[in-house]
Amino acid sequence: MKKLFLLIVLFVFISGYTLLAQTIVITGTVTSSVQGEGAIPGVTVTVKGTTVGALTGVDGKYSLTAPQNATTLIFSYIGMKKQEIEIGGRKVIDVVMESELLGLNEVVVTAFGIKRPAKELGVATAQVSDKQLTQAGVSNVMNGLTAKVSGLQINTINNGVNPETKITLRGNRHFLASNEALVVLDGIPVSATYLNSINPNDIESINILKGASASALYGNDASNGVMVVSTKRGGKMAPTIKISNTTTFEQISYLPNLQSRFGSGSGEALGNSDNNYTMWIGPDRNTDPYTAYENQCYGPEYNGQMVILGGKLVDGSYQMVPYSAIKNQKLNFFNTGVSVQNDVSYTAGDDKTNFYLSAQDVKTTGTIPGDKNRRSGVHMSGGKSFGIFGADFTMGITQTNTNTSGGDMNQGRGVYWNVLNTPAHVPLTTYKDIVNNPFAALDGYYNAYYPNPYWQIAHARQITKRNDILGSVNLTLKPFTWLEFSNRTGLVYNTTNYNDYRDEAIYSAYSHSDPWSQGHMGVTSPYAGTSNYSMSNSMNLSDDFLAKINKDFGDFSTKFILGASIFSSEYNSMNEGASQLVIPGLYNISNRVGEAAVAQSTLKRRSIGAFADATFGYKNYAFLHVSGRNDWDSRLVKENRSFFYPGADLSLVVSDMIPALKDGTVLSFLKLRASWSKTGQISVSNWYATIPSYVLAAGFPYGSTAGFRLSTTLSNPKLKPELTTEMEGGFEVSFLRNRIHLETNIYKSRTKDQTIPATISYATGYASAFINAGELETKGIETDLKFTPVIDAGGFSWNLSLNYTYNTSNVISIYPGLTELPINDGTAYGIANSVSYAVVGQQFPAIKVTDVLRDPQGRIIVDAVTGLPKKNAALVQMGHANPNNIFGIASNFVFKGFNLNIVADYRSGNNIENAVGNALDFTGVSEHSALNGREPFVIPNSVINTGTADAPVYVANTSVAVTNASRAFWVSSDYHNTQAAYLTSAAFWKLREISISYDVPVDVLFGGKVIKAAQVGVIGRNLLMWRPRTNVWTDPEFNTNGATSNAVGYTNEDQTPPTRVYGFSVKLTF
Amino acid sequence: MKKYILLLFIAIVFLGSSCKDFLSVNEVNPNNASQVAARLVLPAAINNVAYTMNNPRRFEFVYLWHGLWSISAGYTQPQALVQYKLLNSNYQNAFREFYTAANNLDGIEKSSTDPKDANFLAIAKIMKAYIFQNLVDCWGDVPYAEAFQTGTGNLKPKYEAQQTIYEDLVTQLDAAMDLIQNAPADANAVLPAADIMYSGDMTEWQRFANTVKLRILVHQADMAGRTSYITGAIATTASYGYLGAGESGLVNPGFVISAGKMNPFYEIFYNPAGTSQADGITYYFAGKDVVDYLVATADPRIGKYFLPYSGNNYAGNILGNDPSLLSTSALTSKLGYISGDAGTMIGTPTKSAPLLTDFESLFIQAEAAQRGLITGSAKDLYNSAVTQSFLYTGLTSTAASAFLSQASPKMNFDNAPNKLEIILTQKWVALDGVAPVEIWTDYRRTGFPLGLHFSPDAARANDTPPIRLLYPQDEINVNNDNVLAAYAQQSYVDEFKTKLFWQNR
Repeated sequence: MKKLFLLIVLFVFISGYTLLAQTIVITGTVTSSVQGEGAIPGVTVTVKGTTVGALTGVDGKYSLTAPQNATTLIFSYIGMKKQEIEIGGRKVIDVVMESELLGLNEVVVTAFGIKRPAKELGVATAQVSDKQLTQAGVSNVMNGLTAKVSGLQINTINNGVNPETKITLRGNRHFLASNEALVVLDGIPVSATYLNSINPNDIESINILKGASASALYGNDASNGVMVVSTKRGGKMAPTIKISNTTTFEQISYLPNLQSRFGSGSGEALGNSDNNYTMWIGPDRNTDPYTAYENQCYGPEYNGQMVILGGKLVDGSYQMVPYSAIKNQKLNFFNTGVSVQNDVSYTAGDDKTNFYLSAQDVKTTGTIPGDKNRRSGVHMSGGKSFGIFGADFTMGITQTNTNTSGGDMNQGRGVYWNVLNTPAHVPLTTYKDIVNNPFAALDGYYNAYYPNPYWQIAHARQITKRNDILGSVNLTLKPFTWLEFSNRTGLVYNTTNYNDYRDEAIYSAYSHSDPWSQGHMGVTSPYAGTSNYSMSNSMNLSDDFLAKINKDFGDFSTKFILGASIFSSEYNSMNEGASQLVIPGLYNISNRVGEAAVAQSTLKRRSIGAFADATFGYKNYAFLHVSGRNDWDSRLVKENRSFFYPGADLSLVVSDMIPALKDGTVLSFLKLRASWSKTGQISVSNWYATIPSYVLAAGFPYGSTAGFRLSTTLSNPKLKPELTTEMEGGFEVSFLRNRIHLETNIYKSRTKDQTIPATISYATGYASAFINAGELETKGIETDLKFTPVIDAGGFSWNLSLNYTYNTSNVISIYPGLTELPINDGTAYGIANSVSYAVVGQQFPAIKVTDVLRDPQGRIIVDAVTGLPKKNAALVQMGHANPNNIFGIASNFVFKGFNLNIVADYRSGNNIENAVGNALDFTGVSEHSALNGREPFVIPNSVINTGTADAPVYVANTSVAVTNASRAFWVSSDYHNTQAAYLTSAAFWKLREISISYDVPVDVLFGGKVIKAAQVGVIGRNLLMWRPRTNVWTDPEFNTNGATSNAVGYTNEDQTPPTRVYGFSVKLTF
Repeated sequence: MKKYILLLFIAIVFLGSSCKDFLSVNEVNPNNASQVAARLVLPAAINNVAYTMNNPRRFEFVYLWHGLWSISAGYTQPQALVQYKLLNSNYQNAFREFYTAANNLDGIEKSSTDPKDANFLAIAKIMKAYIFQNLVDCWGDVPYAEAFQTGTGNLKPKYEAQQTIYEDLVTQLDAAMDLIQNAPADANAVLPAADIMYSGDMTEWQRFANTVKLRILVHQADMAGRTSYITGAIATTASYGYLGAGESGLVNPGFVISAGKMNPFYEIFYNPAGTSQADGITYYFAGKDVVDYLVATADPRIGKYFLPYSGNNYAGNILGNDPSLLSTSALTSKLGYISGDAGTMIGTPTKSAPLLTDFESLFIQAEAAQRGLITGSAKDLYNSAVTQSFLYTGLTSTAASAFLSQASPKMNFDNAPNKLEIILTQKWVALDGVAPVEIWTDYRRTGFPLGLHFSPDAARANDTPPIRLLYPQDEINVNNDNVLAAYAQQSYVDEFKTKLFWQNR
């Protein structure tokens, strides 16, 4: 007891002494872990929780005077990993700092989850961290990747509550086969669209293997590059709980430019059945008379007088409205969408175990009233090692429910089209109440040709319920330090239920009798209710077995991987449809008259791969890597089923080889690399394309009579894989102790034996045949610059990263005698919405559109009398749809606890066909159609042929104006009816992301005991877009034909207008 | 170490040995069969031909160019039709459908090697001949011998001379009739479900074949020095007989009131709910020449062919962009339609689709008899043909007798100064909406009916309509060398000047 007392006294004494002494002096040296770099000057050393600090000198030495109660020192230096070192009573603390930059000591996750030091790699890779991905509160992984890495092009091809995205790496390699990158999630290959179903907050990192070469080991689905996505796993750490909420608001940012001068009219004769329906208003300005029930806006100029709108109801009542444009009338139709994203995760682990569990719920409402989406998911991963044996697993379950509006009953048009077809004086938003407002009901709606969009929102829905399950188990056995076996089994399972229904639309007998005498859509009533229902499931099962051998022999190191891979994919679907429902509100397929449309499909494919991979290193600065893989794929016949593809790459870390280069502080790192590889891709869209098939003939079966016919696509047992040969070279260099890091690659790939559906003579009995022909060359240069202008000036630091990609794809050949090939989604040949072509000698995909006749200088030839142009019978190529230049810029500012991120990007070199422009001119609501006030005008840049047809002489047209510059010109002229009038440059600048976050000092919250970290932030996405002045229509990133189609460069009114997103987030760590 | 390498080897060997079965999943298509019995292919092929022959969009030009139909004044009049400015892409659907249907029949022909398959083989040959006769009548030289040769890798078939094709069709039809005649006693019957035209009655098929053969031969009747060939060919199979009254070749797989499953003519005009289709009933209107003729002859069929525009008034338009000649849609008759009346031109959703009617057969026989190519009374055959046409439109034989007993030389055979004219003019009336290609062929080879009003459009490319279709744009795109060779072997093809081989006027 006495002893204890003494001790206490001694302790108090000593404490008092130290309190008196106040400080201690700590010294040490900071060196770099990078070979040959030695001491690092300028490292900031601070005492945790204080403002006390020092910088290292030229020799890397520091000395600081710390308070006696100091427990931890923080070492920070740009380009190096921040370290916290416990003092533990030491007076001398030496620190070795590790590089933070990729390309130095970073590891890259490559094929089969194999982690390889970046310096070994002879191919271009890029890494996007979890922070970079989610800094702007994205709920969709793709949106978080946009503009952040060179060589990567991500297009959001449509807006909406569950937006579709298209992803390509290094441009297009295939005419018709998929150009989308392969996504490998925790070692399991998944489709690119699968990424939309996972929680971005679960992602630890995304490694992008840009070229075909990096992906040679993945087999025949990887020729378009690979994105290796690794999800979070626990590790040696205290259990941590994170919860967060991100709430964002979405608003329409850019509607097409609209006019507000002219109202309804489409040339209906005066006094049709009732003078009130069609009448002249104001002076005749070459316009049509006002027509009360017309959607087209070629009527008289607005003057504010009261006019009848629509027809009279059966009781004789009618609407009167001022004949003037309503401000923001179309914009007000759209809602502010709200997205609420709630997240919770738990991480734990120790030396031998790791565990990660997360759950997320994202609830979104759209800008179109009634559109909504909800995605909820849980994700769990964990692992444990027992001596030489280890096991880990990943499991994810996601359910996505989407509910959006469908097409109308008359022409199947979307909501946006019916909103655009609303004259500016129509009080659109007053028609929300379709039940009680008689003028919002079917019979009373003013528009004779298109329904009330609110009716459509209430009665035409497209409902999708999608479940995704992913699971994988990875077992490892490491009997010796130099040998490891592993086996990963993965399953990706998806079910999708889809119901697209439209209620019946029954107009009254009064409407049916066509009281307005203008072919009101009620005349063809009733419109029967329809319902289509489909169920599909897909299952991908993969198993990879690997043996890894690592051995060093003196200066030489060797790494071998031998492996085998099995992949099996199965897809089943059932579709059924009823075109005449009977009981209203019941969408079951049995509720019908007439026969149901039914279809069933089962698709299977399997493949086996065997591969070997070897890396030889010399003195840790020169690396040669060779790989070879042989695939056997069930989709080809036995004789063509087996194919081999080799690859090789070389990496040379010059700065390690010649340490003298690194003397001084200018050059910190230099690496050169080169690679060559060959990859095969089987791109038959029909997995049974090698055998003939008899399909059910149209109309059959009729009762007990069955009927089959040969498919009109000729089967081809000789099909073989498309082969991509790719070469690339590049360098990485760092200066000023990694303050500047530059990486540049050039690449060239050639893909030959493309699988194309060649049109053949119908006299063969077939319309087309799949053949191997054609060659596409893709080349480009990509460069990434990371720069730190300000390291740490009074708590302020600034990072800047720039990336630039130049890419072209050129069609070398198609098929002997064939100079062009229409591009579509690869299944339906010749879809209407495609302007995409492969044209020999031209960039891919070329855009070919209808145009008016032009003189050799490109001026429009007009008629000497009418002033009107004439349609060119041939399609004219107008540029291409591939952006040649993609420039991205990301900047990060840190000041004390504040963090500001800005991401912007630019694309150019490509064109886009804006079919919405044609739709708007047809309707006459466009600013474009009213630019000349509907007064006769001379077509700009037009000429008249004063010579003969055979010997033309073109003279600039200065006087011959089009006689009718209203509806006749904007709806019926060849100018309007050619696509060239709506083709513009697709260039843009976009401010993609701005986010500001603040790390709340945790000691103010429960004294730092409960909450370990807290962050609040505000975020904005797609706040601004700059387009060339000619593009007044929509976002040129959009595309009509879906994420998997190569037919890009076409947008129409099926894509709702671009939006901007802003909101806030709160993140807490416990 | 050795142990593990051994394990690895075992794993690879195991994989290798199971490869064969593991990778066989695409050798059989779970969705579509790669071989199908003839009895399941035949109904689809026959139905496809019936679809092509009966879909008004396929051969609308015949009706529109020959005074039978017009296009509503409410529509922009298509240049290809009103100005005779045909494009290569116009009407290529018929070409596509004929060849794809014939390919399926060719498959039946090639696979019916067993003598027991004689009936299937015969029907495939007959239907192919039927298709190729229509192909020749529309396009002249077309691929024939080299068609359907993908098995030998021929993706660019050569064009055959039209007369050669016509002659081989006669040979094929003879072979088919003989096959039926000589079919072994245990030959596989073509069950009713597989034969959607004659329900397996092979005697009818034989007569159908002989009638198609007679039609082919009669087409050549005005060719110089062809008579002995024609009479010789007729003689070889004369004993088999021709389609008589009540023996029409009518196709009905079991049409039902459901989208895509109705009579193909009807479905262009009405949807299953009975409401009008776009560009159907409001698009095609009556032609002036036939309405005037029906009115002039007091022909009761007018009420089945057309709708009165008011009361009991009928009027048709002249096709062509001349506003002074176009009466408004309110003053023009639409095509005949009375809900549930199969005798009207539009008919009913479940009405059978004709390939070759008894009255067409009787008119052909009447012409052949009149020309002395076959024995029999031209007058009796003519009267029978008109009577069957009346019956087809739902009128009675009494009404037919009353019509025929009028004194006018327009329907009274005895009083007609030109027997061929009365036969072919009444044939033109009877085939309206039933057999377009034959109407066109008859007009081209005989010039009957006389006095048709052609397009008054100021911008018309020619005073009279084209006498052949242009080769499909499809063919120019992918088989151009052979199209050019076809031009050469026909001494350049002009749609107004280059006559088919049987045309001699």
